[in-house]
Amino acid sequence: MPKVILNGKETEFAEGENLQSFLRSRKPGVKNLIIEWNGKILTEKDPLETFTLKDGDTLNLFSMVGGG
Amino acid sequence: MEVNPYLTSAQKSILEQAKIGVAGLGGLGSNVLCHLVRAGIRRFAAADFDVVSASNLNRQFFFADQIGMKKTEALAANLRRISRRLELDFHDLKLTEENIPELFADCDIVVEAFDKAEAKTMLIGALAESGIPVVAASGLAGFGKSNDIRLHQVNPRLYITGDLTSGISPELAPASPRVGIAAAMEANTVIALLLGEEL
Repeated sequence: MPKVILNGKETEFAEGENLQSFLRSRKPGVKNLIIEWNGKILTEKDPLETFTLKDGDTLNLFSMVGGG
Repeated sequence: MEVNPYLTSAQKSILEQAKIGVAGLGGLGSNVLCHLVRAGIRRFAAADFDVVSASNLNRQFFFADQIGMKKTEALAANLRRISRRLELDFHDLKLTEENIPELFADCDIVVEAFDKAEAKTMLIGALAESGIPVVAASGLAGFGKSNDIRLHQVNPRLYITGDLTSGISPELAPASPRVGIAAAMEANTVIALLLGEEL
């Protein structure tokens, strides 16, 4: 099975899986994520369903929470 | 009179020419600006649509006799008491995805200093393609756990300070020390990036 490096840990995903379905299954209900995908910065407003994961991709998730 | 006499001429030149954007003038933004002005930065663009309220005084760089004033005006007055050589491009407006790229277009670095999580992600998304480095904060409510507040380098153009978990809630309020730590880390990151110092 192909793997992404998710926050430093090897994590399996289904061949052809897109970023939106990956996040929905691994981070259900999590909002306001900053998504770093192979160096690119994305948010939930980007068309995540159009980004197909590849073996060896790096994915780092940062949760933005309120307060300032 | 220079506000920071401890700079080398090379450092002084870099900081005096820099322009820093600050999105939001609350607990983070007001304290970030205080640090950056004391460090010797003179040029800023910033925006906030709010007025100073009594509940701001637990952590924000405003005073009791400023309650009811626009934050842009009150903070400009406070910063000018530290340095008289400031160029403050302050806007009394609500920042949106549409106006953020234009308002901060000529800034070297933008500091995310909002209160709401949705606004934080909105600003990062709005500047993702701009090439302008962003320094943000997430997770700073409550007391204690000082060492949990860290600098996270997301990529060479995005940095997030905070513990990434302590969001505000009815049980967890923002307070001066932890908001202040996160704000100081944001300011310190801006200065390190400008001067090429180790983060």
